[in-house]
Amino acid sequence: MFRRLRASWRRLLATLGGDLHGEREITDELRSHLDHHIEDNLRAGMTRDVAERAARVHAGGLGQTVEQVRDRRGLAWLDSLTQDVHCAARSARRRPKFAVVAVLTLAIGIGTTTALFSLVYAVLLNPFNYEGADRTVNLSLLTDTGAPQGVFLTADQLTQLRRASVVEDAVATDAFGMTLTGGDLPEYARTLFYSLNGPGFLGIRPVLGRIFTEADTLGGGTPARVVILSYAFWRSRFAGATDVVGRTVQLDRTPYTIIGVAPPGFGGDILVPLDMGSDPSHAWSGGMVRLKPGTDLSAAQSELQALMTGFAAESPQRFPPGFRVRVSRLIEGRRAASFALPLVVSFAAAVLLLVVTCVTVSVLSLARGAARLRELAVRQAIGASRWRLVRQLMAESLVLALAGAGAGIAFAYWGTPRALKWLPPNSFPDVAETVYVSGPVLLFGVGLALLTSVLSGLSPALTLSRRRVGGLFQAAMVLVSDADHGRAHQVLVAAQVAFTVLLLAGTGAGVRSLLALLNTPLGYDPSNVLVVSANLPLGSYREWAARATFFEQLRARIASTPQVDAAGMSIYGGVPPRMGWRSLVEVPGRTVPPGMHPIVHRVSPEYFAALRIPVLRGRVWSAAEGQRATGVAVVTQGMARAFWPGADPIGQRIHVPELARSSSQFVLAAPGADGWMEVVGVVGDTPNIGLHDAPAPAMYVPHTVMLGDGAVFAIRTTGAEPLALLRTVREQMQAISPGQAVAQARTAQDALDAGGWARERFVVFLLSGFGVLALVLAVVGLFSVVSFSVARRVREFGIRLALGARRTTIATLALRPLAWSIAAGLVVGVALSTVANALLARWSIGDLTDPVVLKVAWLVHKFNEIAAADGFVPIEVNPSAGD
Amino acid sequence: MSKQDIWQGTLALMVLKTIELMGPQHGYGIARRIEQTSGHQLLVNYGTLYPALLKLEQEGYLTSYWDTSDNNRRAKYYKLTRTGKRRIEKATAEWEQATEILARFLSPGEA
Amino acid sequence: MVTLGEVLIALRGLEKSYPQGSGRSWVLRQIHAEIRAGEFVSIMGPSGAGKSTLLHILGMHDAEWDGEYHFLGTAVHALKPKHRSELHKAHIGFVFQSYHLLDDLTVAENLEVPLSYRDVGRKERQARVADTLDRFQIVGKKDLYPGQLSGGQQQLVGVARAVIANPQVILADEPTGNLHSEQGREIMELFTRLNAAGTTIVQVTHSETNAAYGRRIIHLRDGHVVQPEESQVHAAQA
Repeated sequence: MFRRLRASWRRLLATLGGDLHGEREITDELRSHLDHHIEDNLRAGMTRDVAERAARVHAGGLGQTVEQVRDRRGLAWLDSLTQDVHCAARSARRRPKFAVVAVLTLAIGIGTTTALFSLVYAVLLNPFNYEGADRTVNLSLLTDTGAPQGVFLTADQLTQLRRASVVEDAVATDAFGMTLTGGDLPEYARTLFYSLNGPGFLGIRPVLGRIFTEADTLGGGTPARVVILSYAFWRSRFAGATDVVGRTVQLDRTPYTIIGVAPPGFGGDILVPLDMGSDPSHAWSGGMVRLKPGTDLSAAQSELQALMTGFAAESPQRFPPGFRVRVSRLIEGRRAASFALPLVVSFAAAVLLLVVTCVTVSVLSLARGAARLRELAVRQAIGASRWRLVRQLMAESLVLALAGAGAGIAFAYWGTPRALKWLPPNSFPDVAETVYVSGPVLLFGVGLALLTSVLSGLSPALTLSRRRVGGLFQAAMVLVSDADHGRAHQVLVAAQVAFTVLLLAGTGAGVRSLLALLNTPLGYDPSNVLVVSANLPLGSYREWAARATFFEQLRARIASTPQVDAAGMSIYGGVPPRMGWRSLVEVPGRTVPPGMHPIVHRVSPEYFAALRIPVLRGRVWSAAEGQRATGVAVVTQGMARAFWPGADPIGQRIHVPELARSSSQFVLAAPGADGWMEVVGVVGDTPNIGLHDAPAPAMYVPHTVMLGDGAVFAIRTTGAEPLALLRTVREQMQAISPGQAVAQARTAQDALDAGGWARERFVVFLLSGFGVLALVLAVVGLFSVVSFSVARRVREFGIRLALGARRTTIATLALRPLAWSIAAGLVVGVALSTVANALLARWSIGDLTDPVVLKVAWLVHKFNEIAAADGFVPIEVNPSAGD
Repeated sequence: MSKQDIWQGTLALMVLKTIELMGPQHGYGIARRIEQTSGHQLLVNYGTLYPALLKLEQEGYLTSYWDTSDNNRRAKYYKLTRTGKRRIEKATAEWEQATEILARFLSPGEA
Repeated sequence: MVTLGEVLIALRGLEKSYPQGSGRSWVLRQIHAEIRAGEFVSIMGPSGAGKSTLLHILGMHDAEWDGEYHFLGTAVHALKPKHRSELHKAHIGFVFQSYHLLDDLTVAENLEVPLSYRDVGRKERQARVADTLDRFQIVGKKDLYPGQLSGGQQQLVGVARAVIANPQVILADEPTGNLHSEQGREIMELFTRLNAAGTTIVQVTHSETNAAYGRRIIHLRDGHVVQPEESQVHAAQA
């Protein structure tokens, strides 16, 4: 045994060394032989000529020997392997039905697993394709209550951070949307802001043009107005035009020059220099730090803590009291993100589905193998050892698995991008750019094929190769081999049922927990709402009163349109689940910690009716109050609880400094505005920082307090399909102001989908699909086994029928041997589900032990009863195997 | 059994025995030694020797390594393994038994 | 070449039975027999006499029996299954009543299979297959599948497959049972030629004509070996 193993190993090494048949070595050896001989002949006194000829003659043909040795060395294993594979391929061709079913089954398992692996790989395993990503950490702060918060740094402080001893380099980042104008329609662009060293820090090698560097300044620390396009945005918005570099685009109505295009995998739509000079109190900012190689995370944390404590002394208003510095590897952020768990659960489900497909193919192979017992016995009778038969059968399952993997990987390659297109962009980060069947994914697929061939082939191979020649040719022995066979079948069926139950329980639980998320009260009604944004032409309506009137005219005109129930207006804020940003506020008699600053929305009073946000206490301001820009506010329930716990929020006063005066040429503060608001009402919470997080404190003030250069209209229809109203809305706008364009139009439901609902629905769909597939496979597997046993007992059943047995009696007889397997499978499956449930409990994935699965299993059983009763005889089961 | 098999079997034993007596040896040395021992009645050419050596190596009776020979040439040396030694003992016994049986046939007078 | 007369197969007290009810049902009982190298033996007897069972025990397909079985001096009854199968592989060729060719393989490939199970190199395999195809005059059929051949032709391939690995003995189970008489005669003549060339032949047959090709007959009846005159008495009674 060991001898053979060692020899195989040596041959394998020789093969890997590129010397497939040891040809080089044997040639060298023979050459050395000849040289020795010639030398001896010379020593014996021959002339060189004679010595060489004599040696050659003596030794015999060189080429022939090389060939002979090659035959011995290489072919012994390689040749018989290719022979087995060849034979397997032919046997698959000659029984196409079985092969097609098996290959398709495996393709489903391998394809889904590979597709999900490509997602997991791109999103969770290897999402950052830049240098030193493993040493790069996110820098953030934790308040004394443990709430995370961004780090706000000045340009000077960033410089100090970059010089810290544990730090190789650091970059300040921010992210929010900018409006890209200058094309046909204004467009929302997800913008990543980086300090000027950012692109260099990330190692971005532009596919076009260049990146921005620290030289790109306008002097005085203000960065140049330049922009790098992300690869995906370049392809979609600029159709991959090669002459984009040098073009000017309008971002938030400011001209920026396109200087380059980033390669795939850096996210966002555009990359813009972060202006470190501007007031950081408006925007939160993050820091990314690349640690020096070998730096310990806790060492880095303590050094950065000291540094930040110093910064806090310089600018205490930007650091919460008693803060702690938190450093976390980039990948941790990914793995903690809301999309990670659904992805991992889906991948696990796919793996389970793969196991089910393997077991199914095992069952099918075994059933088919029964029809091949004669062939296998003949092979044994003419000298095949068991090992040799196992090898042949394994070669067959390898061929099936490779074909399945080929089809599966092709399916994943073709289907993954298409499936992702169903999702709103950005449901999973970066996937549009980086998900494809890459080298590692391909390797994974091939690995799966090998694993699959073992999983699906080993059990049938071991069972079928059992020595039973004698049994084959003598009727009395057939029963013995049948018993073996039956046992293997029963175990496999039980395994299949168990895994299917586990998969169903898992997907059921996943589906239920996701449904729970989908059923979480939203606090508003997203159905039948059209959301339309309109921007003012640059430099128009520069007077507050004129602009306020114009906006109100637009709103009123839209509201008067037939089929419109209500029309509300919002400045810059948009609609749930993601809207606005936090503003600094001051409340008399208390300090507001940075993490509690509310989101301030500027809306018209009809906004609440349009979105059906319930007013819980007090009132909403009147239209007249709105027109006068009265200093009133409505707060959300969450804000009321956070700011005035146990007290009545109505009548409280709150100061929003940024609403006191116009901060730029684009916004117009109401004359005499001082930023002071009196709370007049409390409304319900709506999601405003995404679907997975509890709503942040928020307040609403009349939009007239500070008018922007664009407005978002939320239009509730009387039941009509919202987008069908778009044309009418446009015409109404046109009637008020010729040339007024709609910048963006979508439904509130779309906004919700883009905010993550679509992703959750997709996962629900995926998991349900897996469950159904597993169920179908279980039915196929059981069906083949039942049919097989029915076919074996056809004569017996015929006699029983002739004697007056009823069909159901026959069905019971046919199923009885399997009933135990199914029962055992159910018990094991439920037990496994309970264990998995305990493991998953801390992830709150839902309950895996559910009577539903039992009902499903019962259905499977019932189906087979019907199949058996109808006397279906399936593919290629030959009841008269043997003589 | 075909003639070639018999010759191969016998040759294998000769090769093993030669290496046992001489210690690690290269193919040429083995060939010369067998020819000498047979009183030059046997001619060992590549075609018989090297397949036999390879077979013995594959079966684990020999291991090989490259080294420099007495006259400073690179050569592949063959060395007996423990299994190889056992094989010689067994084969020798079998051979003796076989020749003894054969001898009884060839000189029936003593039976 | 095997020395003629050497004892190839020796059976002593060979028995085979199945449990039945509280006792056992005997298939073979106290079989004593000797077959020498170079013999052509026919095993005869009525249906159910245990002929095929005996042949499959000789062929080492069946391991469930008691007693002693020596093959070329080796005690088969004492061998592990793995060694039995080695012994079988080295010395025995088997011919089946219903040919049992591998349906997915061509004639040439069917002939090649036993060689590949004996780790014969590819070159050598091809040479021997070509040789055998030639010897059996079936070169023209080499790329056909068994389904495309007549019964006689299939059995010819079956015999060719049995001899290709140079076995010392061919065991044939009703080799002409499914053939018409002309084809049967060809197979028997083939056996005669193989026997003349030194191969031992043991066949199970119902046909006196076929048995006549052999030099000796072992009569089986109800699991016992019976002497010829005894068997004739039984035959007369029946």
